[in-house]
Amino acid sequence: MIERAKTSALLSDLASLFRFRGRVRPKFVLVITTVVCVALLSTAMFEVFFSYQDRKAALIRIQHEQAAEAASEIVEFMRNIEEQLSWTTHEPWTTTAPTRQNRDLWRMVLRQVPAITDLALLDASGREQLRVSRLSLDAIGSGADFSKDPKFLEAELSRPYRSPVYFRGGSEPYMTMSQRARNGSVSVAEVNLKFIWDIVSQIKVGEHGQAYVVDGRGHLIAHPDISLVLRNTDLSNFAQVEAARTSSGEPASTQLAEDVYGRKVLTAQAAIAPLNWTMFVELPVDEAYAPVYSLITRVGILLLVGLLLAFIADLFLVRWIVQPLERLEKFASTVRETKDYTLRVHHNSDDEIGRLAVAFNEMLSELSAARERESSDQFELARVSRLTTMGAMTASIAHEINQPLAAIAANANAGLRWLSRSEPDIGEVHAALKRINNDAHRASEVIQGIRAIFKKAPQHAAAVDLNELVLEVLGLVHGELINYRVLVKSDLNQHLPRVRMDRVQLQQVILNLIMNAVEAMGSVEDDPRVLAVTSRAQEPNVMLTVEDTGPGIDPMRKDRIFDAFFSTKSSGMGMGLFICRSIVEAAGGRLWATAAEPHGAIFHLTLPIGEAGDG
Amino acid sequence: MKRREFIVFLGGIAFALPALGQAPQGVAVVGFLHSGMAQVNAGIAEAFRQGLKEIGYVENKNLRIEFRWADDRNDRLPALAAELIRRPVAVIAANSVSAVAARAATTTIPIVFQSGIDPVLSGLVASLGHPGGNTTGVSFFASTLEVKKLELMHEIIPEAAVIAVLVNPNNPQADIQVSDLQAAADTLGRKITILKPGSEADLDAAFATLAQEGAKAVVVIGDPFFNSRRKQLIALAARHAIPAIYSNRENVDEGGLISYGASLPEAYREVGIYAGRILKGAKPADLPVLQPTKFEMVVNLRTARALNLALPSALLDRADKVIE
Repeated sequence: MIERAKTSALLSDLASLFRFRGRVRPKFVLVITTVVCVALLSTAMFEVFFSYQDRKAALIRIQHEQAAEAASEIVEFMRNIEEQLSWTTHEPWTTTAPTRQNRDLWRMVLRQVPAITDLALLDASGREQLRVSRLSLDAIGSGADFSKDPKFLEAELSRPYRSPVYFRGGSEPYMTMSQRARNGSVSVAEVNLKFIWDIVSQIKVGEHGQAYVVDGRGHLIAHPDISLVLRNTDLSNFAQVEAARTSSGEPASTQLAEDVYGRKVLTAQAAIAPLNWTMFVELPVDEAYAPVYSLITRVGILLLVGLLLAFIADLFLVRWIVQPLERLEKFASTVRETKDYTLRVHHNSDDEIGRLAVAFNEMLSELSAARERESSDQFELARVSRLTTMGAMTASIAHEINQPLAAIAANANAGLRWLSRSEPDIGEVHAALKRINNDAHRASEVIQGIRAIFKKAPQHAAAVDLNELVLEVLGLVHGELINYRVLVKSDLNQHLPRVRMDRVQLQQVILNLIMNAVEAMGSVEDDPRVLAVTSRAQEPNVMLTVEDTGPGIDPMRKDRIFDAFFSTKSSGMGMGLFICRSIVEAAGGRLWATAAEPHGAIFHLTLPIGEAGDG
Repeated sequence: MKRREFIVFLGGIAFALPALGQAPQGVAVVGFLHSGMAQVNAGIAEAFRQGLKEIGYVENKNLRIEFRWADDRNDRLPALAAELIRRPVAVIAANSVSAVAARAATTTIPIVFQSGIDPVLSGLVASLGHPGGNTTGVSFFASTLEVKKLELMHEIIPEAAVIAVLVNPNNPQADIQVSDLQAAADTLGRKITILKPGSEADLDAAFATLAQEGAKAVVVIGDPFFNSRRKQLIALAARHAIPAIYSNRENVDEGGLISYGASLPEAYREVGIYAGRILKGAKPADLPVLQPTKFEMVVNLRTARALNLALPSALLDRADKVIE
């Protein structure tokens, strides 16, 4: 069982090697395989092609030489017969009235030349005077008439006559040769061509190749397999025979052909010129190209080895590149998901991937440091801003509280006076106490509003009604508005969607904007001082605009008013708008300023609409 | 996919590589049917084995030869042939009369013959070039060569003397042989007498007869029966002091005077080769009947001296071999 489990584990390991995740690996495999295959195949093809060509050329040359040599042997063989025959055209063979002595002389020719089966002497008139034979009775003076026979008619003094090959009894290949003597008589020999078999069967053409002879008509007259000859095989339809016959002596171009057994062969030939025969030497292609085949096998093995190496290289690629890359990728997505910038990737190597991991870690360090710095900066800014705002606020609060307190004191005074009259006016006292009560309530509200701002509420996003905040802030700066004689025009959309952000921060932003507007209008003497606050829904945002009729923003400075430590006010720290913009942008909103007509400034605040129904 | 195709490609090459030099597998069984006797025909049996060996069949290795000898009783041949067919054997090698018997028994099992008689006339093959059936082999020109033997004997002995001819009456072509020889004798102007001994006893009687009839020489027709009775014939010729001419040089080696003809062992070697080719798949119908091309004249001078016979020098000059 354990063995089986091990085996299956091994199998799954192996299977994983063939899984193609991602893109790098298939590309790499493709490239390596292509390179290996193309390199090996191209050299192999070159080598195979050239060795094929060389070998073919060499074999054809050797075969051609063999053919030429065999052809000359056959020519020699035939010439020997002709020489023997030509002896018989001289004294004492030539005689008009042969005797037994003449016959014995002729018989000796048979003894000399085993290929001659029958030998005859025709006189000048074409009549047979003598015949000696291996197979039939010898005859003297038979007188048989051959005067019309080509062997008599065509025999000449200088040139022997050679008949076409014929098959005795339909089986044995024979040829008639004759030669004329000076006295007009003709010597005739019947030559058994099976003797040429001795020549062709001795030619070794590789292991399974062979040499054979074809006569002028394309019939086989000598072949190592003599049975083919005895069957009187007609080869005239074979490409190489046809080519040799038509090319008449020139080396034919046919080099690849089919032999009588239907095998593909390399063929070469030589003309046996005086006889109009052709000597063929053929080697089966399978045997001829055995070295080429073994070369192909070797190349095939090389290719396999190459592929195996490519495969191994692929394995190392996976181990060295793909898997580390995958780990890095996984790590990066972990960081992205958890936002934990303190995580570090572990990859100890000095290669590119190692350096990449180091760079990755360094980048994470920088990132987390930057985040830390940023958040502390913001915190500091917020604190400073709060303190500065507090300065302004303190005056406002003092004013706010002072007013009701002064009113309370005055009313209390008045009430006391009304009581201390001889006839206390209870109605006046009552009215004074009521005003005191009202003023006390107002003061209390002011305190509560301030407490809402300075309450150390943790910064957390919540769904906030922007209109409510605006009214709250307006209530807060009520005293200032009166102080500055500012007319407030508010146009608040009753169905404004809520926004999602920290309430106190937003309140601070709105307070800042309103106080800026109020202060900006402090210098306006002639025109009415109007503060217009508008809220609108602008999917997917809500927009708040705060417009004043102050002198407006110097266009030259327009771009800089949101910068830190930029202030147009002599007493300001230049942090207000910078902080506002930081807060707004942190909440995903925007804050910008435009010029109002005919003068004044408009501050636009947009904030994304928070999720519906979120408390 | 590429990988797979590549492997297929390699495999293709591996299978395309030709399997050269295939050896015959298993043990082939060949029948050898002969009308004669085993003892006197050891030479041709050996030549037959030699032929098979040349083509790759070695006895007791990948070949078994079932020998069946009729001991000159031709009437036994059909039963022996049937026995071989029942075994069965892959090929039957047979001499002329045996081949006729085998052919009568089967038209499917290939038969390779060595025939002294004309294989076309005896119906063994359709033609020499294209045998056509299940039979092929080596033809021996026998009938033709008998004429040449007569011519030689005619040359050796004085013109007036009668020449006796021994013909086996059991030979299916005995009549043709006789008529051919008679015609040749007429051409030569020589008187001949035909004797037809068909048995061992007849042979003794025949020699007695030819002595009585004044025959001065004897032509022994090439025939399996006479081949079997080689020793007896040589002894009879010596006892009656009569020159004899044979077909086979073996007779001359063993004391006969003269022989003319092709080599019988050579013919059996060819039979062995043909049998081997048929075992390898060749069809007898496609294998043409072979004919010998070399004809030897062998003369035994010792026998000539014993017979007190002076051989013509022209004949001795032509002899391929002269045994001193």
